[in-house]
Amino acid sequence: MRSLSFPVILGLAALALLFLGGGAGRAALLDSRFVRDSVVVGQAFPKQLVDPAGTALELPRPPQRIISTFMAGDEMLAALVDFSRIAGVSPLVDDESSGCAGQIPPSVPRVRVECESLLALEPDLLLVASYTRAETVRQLVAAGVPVVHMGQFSTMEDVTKNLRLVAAAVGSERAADQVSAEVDQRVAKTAAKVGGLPKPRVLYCTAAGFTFGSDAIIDTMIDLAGGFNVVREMGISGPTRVSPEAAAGLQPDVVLLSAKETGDRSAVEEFLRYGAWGALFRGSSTRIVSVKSAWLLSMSHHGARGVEAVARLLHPEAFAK
Amino acid sequence: MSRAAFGVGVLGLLAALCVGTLYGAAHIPPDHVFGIVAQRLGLSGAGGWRPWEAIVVLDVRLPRVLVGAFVGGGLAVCGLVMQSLFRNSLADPGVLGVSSGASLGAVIALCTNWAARSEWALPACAVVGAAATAGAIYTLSARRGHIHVGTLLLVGVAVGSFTSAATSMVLSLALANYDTGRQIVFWMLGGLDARTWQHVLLIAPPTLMAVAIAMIHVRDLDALLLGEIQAASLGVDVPRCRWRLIGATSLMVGAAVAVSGVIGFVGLIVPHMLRLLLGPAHRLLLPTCLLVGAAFIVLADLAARTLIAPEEIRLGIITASVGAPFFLWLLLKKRADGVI
Repeated sequence: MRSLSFPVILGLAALALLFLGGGAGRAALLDSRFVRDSVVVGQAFPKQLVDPAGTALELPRPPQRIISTFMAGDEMLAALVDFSRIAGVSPLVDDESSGCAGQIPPSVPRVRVECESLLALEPDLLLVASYTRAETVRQLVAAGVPVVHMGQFSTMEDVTKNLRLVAAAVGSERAADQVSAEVDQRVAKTAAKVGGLPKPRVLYCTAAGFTFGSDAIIDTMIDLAGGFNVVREMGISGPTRVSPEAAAGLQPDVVLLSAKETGDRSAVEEFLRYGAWGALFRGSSTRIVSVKSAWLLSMSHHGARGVEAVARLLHPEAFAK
Repeated sequence: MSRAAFGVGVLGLLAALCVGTLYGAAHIPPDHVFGIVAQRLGLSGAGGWRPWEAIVVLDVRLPRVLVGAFVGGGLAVCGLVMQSLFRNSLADPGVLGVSSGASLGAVIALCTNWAARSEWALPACAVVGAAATAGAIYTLSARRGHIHVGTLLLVGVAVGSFTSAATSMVLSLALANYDTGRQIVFWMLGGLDARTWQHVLLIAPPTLMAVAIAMIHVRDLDALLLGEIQAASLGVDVPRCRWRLIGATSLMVGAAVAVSGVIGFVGLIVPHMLRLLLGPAHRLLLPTCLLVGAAFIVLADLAARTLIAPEEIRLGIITASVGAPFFLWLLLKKRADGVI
């Protein structure tokens, strides 16, 4: 009997915790704590922010310690608020593929998505994306940090919607109107130039074969620029990977690469030197072109420049006029 | 000796829990940490700390160290039980393929994005994966209700290889999506970041239950070291004992993989180390394994999050790189002493 006392105590403790844990689990499931898109309610401060857990938080005044945890968030903040209000940006902000590379002062901390480090910066607003680690987002939401979660980045409408959401949270609606108008104007102008022209078959691809089907911003860019994304024919949505053989089988008229600058020939040569790409495309009728990565890969308003740049490469004759 | 070893284990675990709560990626003065915990326990009033410090201590560090303690203690006990049950010094929680099954379930949850939709999706898938694997192993290795240990181990290895291959296939498909692929790879390396009190409630019951079941069978485990026939001749109901212990360890391993990813070596090293130090009697060995395994993972996790802060080294890397050389050193020392 005496030898059983320790296991009996452990067993009883386990049953008690199971009861508690089951309760917590049911509560969490009933709460349906999905990470959902945030909503800002109200025209002037104090406003209400409905966070990713669906909880309404008050934003009493324009946030002064804003942190962005992803590149598009960095780009939006750079366009919308004074840098003194930014308490942290993602480590990718200085990368050449960032639309605001070199703009955010080094004094602003570059932070990774880690709960303790983020909380230590005492943010009064945090920007996260659908691809930010969900567990960390939940932990930050549970800690009471006002979190703006953006879930869609597939179309230019998504881009301007996200921009307006961030603007509403930080109180920069006027700046967002201006940036959105520029985006709409640039896209409309491009559409007017390429509308009605035959659509070349376009493959966006990296040397490693990463590409995108439908439901991706690059697919939208190609479409708005007057091209047809050949990966759509594979019935794939979102990111995927194709072999050089499969890529050649799609018979693209144009292969689109991202590079440091638009028209960068060294990026094209590097691509052709990698694996079988050169054997398949060097000397063929397929044109291989490069567009500045900060525009082509952007999931923020800089994507509008990407649309224009791609259109200029697909339909040079339309822009020569 | 037994009380002293147990006492040292308790003190070691308490010290590890303290140190694990005191240090992290963000600097919080130790007096603030103690004050925050004391206030939560109702032992003192509010102090001069900032609100974020209380959140970090109570909702980030404490659940993390507790999850680490349960995972480490549970895996160490599972390793000890399996080594004794199979009389195989290489047996550890991964040997039956249950860890691989749990991994497959969790990787599917990540790949299909279920994990992003509900915080319970990943743990649920991991436990289902572990249970399904254990069930498959049982079905494949049982013949007319009788199980041969050798067959069981071989089936475990085969099923484990199959589920590992399936995991690799899911991973290779998911790698096209950089973010999903990155999450899966990070998870497979094992870690305790972003653990919450809900994870504590998820891991604690199976750990305590598995330990309780193992404790009930300490005498049987001692007898099983002599061999199954000898154990049976001593009055041990070998089939019942075996399946109780395999069931308990499967549940424990599934829960551990669900909350922390795949963390290797602790189930192999800690029981070996303690058996060399304390001898084979399970009545002392088992609770000491629980304490030392818990302290080992808490300290390994502390190293993982502070060595190159704010970056983190994955916990599985720390346990492997610290545990393997230590294990080798211990083995060589004992061999030099003529003990083994």
